[in-house]
Amino acid sequence: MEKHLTLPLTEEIVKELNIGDIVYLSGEVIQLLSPAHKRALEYKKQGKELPFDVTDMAIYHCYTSLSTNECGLNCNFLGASTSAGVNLYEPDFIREFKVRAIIGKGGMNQATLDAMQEIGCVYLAQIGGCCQLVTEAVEEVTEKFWEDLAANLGIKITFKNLGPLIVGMDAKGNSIYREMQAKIDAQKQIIYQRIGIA
Amino acid sequence: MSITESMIAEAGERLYIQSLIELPSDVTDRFKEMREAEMSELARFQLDKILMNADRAFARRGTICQDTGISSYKVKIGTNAKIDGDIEEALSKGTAQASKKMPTIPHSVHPITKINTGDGTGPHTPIIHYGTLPGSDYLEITAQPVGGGGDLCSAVKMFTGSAPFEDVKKFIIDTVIEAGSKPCPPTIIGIGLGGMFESVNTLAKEAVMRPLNQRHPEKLIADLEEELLELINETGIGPMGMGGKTTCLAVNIEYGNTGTYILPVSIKVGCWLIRRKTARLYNDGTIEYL
Repeated sequence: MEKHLTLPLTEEIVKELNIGDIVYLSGEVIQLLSPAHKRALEYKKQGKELPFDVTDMAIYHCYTSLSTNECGLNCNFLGASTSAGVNLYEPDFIREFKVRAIIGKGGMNQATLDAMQEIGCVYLAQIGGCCQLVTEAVEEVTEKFWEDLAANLGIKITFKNLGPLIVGMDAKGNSIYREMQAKIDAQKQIIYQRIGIA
Repeated sequence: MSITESMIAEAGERLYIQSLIELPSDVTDRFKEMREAEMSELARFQLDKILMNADRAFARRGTICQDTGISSYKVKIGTNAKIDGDIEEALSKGTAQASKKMPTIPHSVHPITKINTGDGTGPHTPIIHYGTLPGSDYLEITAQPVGGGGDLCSAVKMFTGSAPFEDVKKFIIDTVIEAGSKPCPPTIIGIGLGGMFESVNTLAKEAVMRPLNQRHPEKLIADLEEELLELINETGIGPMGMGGKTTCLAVNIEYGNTGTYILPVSIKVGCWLIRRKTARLYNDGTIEYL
């Protein structure tokens, strides 16, 4: 099933998505990696206001190459980084900020899946390495936050039809990655037998 | 006439940039072959998009993947080549120039302080491997920058010489399964077998750089490459770990003799995006890009 969605998203829209669906996403997305997650959660604890609003919005685990031109910020290219690196912070982040979609690659852990089900949030997987397909969906880069975090800073990017993104984990407790793990574990025993390992 | 430092820097820069933009044709051929045999619709969809992305990168002269890697070169020195200048200085300059000419994300950081030099260079960066070309009057340089996703999943293990070979196969299968979706499968696996600790990883790197359609010249090793490829593709991991038969594009093995009491094994897990671009630099000042 292919769906074109525009941010902000609601819990209802997110709950209609199933693992394996193909999504194209339009609107403002915040690039956030692990250090920016950590800082956002610290701000929340201290009652400090964040420089961006992610409630009902989407965040993207990605690296970006930016430059400045006469129109302001320009995105040379971007692409998903491995989401497993954010597993530590994502469950709290989803609960605290009610974010509706996490974009990345490679999937996330059970604790994140639980938080997604509780709040109503999905994991959208970019096809790893497909930098050109996602860069061509960039309309503009509007803001940078926390530049002291160097390459891990936060960036606000407006996309038109960012995709294809594959629903890897849905808001109903299903995860392609978890299903795959069970299948792979079963296959592993067959492969062991073939190579003569008891 | 001689091969000057500026020629080497120029080749180093151009090869690095080209390697980020152009997917080698043996890789696209292999993608197409495996796509035909793939049963999963979601897997086929992803394989098609990966090739579409590579076409767009080529047309726009942009990078295929956002991970523009750590700069690495293989330098083969012809024994009749006349080199005027420092090869390492020149390739460092070439890497720095490349990061200015083309947008890249320089990842070269100090291992403890994490301070980024900003131009992709630094101590032992670019990484340079050397070899010789007996009787040749040229220098052959291959840019082979390496991304982080695959290396994070790579592994090396020292077996005893008496370990049954099944244990080595198990180590390879376990490494691929443990990597799962993380190295952006379909992967290209390079295996170094034998040698000693100091050489086994270089063998694995040599292996992963070999074109995917070339099997090892020794039948015993070639058969092992095919057997391991078949076993890995039985895991069902599939493109991006979302299921399918296309988990690995090729298993390449390079070996060296080792001690009777030890068997070093290195597994270089590479993503589908192998980067390799080669040029020959001649004594008469010409550069031939292959």
